[in-house]
Amino acid sequence: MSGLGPDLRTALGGIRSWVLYLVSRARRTTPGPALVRLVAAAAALGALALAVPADVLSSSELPRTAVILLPAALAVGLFPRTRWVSLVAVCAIGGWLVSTIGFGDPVHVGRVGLLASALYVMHAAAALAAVLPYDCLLASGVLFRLAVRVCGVLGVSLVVGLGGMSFAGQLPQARSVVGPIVGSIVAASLAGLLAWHLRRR
Amino acid sequence: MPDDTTPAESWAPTRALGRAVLLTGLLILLGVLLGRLDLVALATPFALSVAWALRRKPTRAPTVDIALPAEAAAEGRDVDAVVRVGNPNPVGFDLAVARLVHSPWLRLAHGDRPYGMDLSPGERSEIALAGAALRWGHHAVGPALVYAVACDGLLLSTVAVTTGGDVRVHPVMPPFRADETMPRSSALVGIHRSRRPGEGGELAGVRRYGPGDKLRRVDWRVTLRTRELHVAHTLSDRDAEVVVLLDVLHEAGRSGGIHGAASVVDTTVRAAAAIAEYYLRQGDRVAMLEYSGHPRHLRAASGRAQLQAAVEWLMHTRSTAGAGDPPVFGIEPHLIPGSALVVVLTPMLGPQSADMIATLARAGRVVVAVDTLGELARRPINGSQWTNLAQRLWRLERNNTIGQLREVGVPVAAWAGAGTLDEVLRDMTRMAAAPRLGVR
Repeated sequence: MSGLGPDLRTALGGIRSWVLYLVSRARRTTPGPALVRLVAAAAALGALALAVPADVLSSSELPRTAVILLPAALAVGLFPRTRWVSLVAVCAIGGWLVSTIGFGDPVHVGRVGLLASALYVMHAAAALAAVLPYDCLLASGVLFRLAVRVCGVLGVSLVVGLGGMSFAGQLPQARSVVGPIVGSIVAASLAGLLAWHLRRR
Repeated sequence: MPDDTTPAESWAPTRALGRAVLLTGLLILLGVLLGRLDLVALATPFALSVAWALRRKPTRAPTVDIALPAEAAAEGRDVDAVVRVGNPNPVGFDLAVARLVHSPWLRLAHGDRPYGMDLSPGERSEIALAGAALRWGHHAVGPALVYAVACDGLLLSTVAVTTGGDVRVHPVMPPFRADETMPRSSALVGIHRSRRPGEGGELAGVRRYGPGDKLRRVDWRVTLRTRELHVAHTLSDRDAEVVVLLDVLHEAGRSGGIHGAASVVDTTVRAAAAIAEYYLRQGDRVAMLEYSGHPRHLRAASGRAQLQAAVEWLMHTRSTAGAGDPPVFGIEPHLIPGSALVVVLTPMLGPQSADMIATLARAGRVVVAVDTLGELARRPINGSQWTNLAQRLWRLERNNTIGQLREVGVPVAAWAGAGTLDEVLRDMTRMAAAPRLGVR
């Protein structure tokens, strides 16, 4: 017991200094970076909630699910520089597949659009938050530029992606063929584009 | 100040680029394998944003430079610093983050925070920082660092750095005046009334007319009353040379800047500035000497230019405790004219200082020691049971040193602003005017 006292004091001192560090960081945090991180976390929560099966959200499992989803989403806002953001995005995609394949949730265009929007907003906000110091004094133009960019990308993407999806959904006979063909074309185009960009560097 | 970045800057992909490519590839792969168009729709924003963002890439890092005021600021007054950030690329920056490192003695508003801004192609943005200079001296402003993010946060530039410069802050000059006469003077010009009779403006008395007296000196009122010629007897006006010797061999106390406690070097520099200003405004010649490991000397001169030179010279003063050995022979007496008044500003914290002052006095110089330790000498120190005793011993030893200095003819006065030198100058003048005994 005699050796426990100093160890305990050391541990408490460490915790105290850690708490003081967090408090000082919180005090120095400025509204701009906090808003960007909040948007990233909210978008992550939205993406995860949209990916979770509808039955789970409406059942008594909701509190247990929220206990998992909320910290995961919050971590996106707290650690935007880490691979956690990618992991949350992959988990949302996995959850979406489980919901639609395993739980038989219908693939509504609106839900797909919301999920795509949430995933992209999370990605874009986390990308900015990752390079933005938490105590930075931010010009309003930065956030305005981000908002315009995200809205533009989402507007075009939703029109193209969801429009194409709806159009292909009208062709029941070709449904099994159109997907692989379109996907292959887009994948090949993207690979070619990235290769061209890398060569250009 | 030029930008130090080399033209071979590069941009690196961020983790966001990897994430966008990963998600796009994963979603499209799954969409192809499972035949799911909804997965392709999920991939569309990522694919489009990457393709659109990378259509034009920046090639050069952001530029940064710092603009500082050329004029010196007064201690406690505001100084300005401007950080200019530029985008030399034909592509806009989503974000440029600039950070300025500066001396803690410059309280620039939000100067300890990074600044984030967006920059259009070719645009230059300025961050104006202003705040009070809390202490005299040369205060470093810089380096300034900047990095930028472009292409929807997919590319990150290298960090551009610029070195910056100094902001010069001159010390405040506490009120100082010395009403007493100078013990010695160097020429029959100037404004100091001396103890010697001569052509001056200070009335010393009225005496009978003697051969050689000028008629314009005749005091007609006394002459008519006494019916005998009387002349006004005046003292001559003379100029003087003052040598301010700064003993900064040791520092004591912690400087709190203009609004806080003064350290020994603070007191020394501010007192030196005040003394120099007073005597230069009187028309005297003032020289400055620094007693430290790296002694410096400002030649004697008079006038406004010398005041500016003295202030500039004082701004370079630093405590050199532990930074170098003191000069072996102290201050060379030949640097100080015999007729000059030497005001030594010293905390008397080491035996070298007392030795140096005594050496000057023995060489025939008129030396006045001003104690710059002030309240620090009386401040109680918390410590063990022996601390109090040690402090008392130290005070006794210091008082003993001061007594020894007085024995060799060096009066010691504590720095108290205006009137600090009056009493000692009065005593010294009286001693200088007294008849001297010669031993044959």
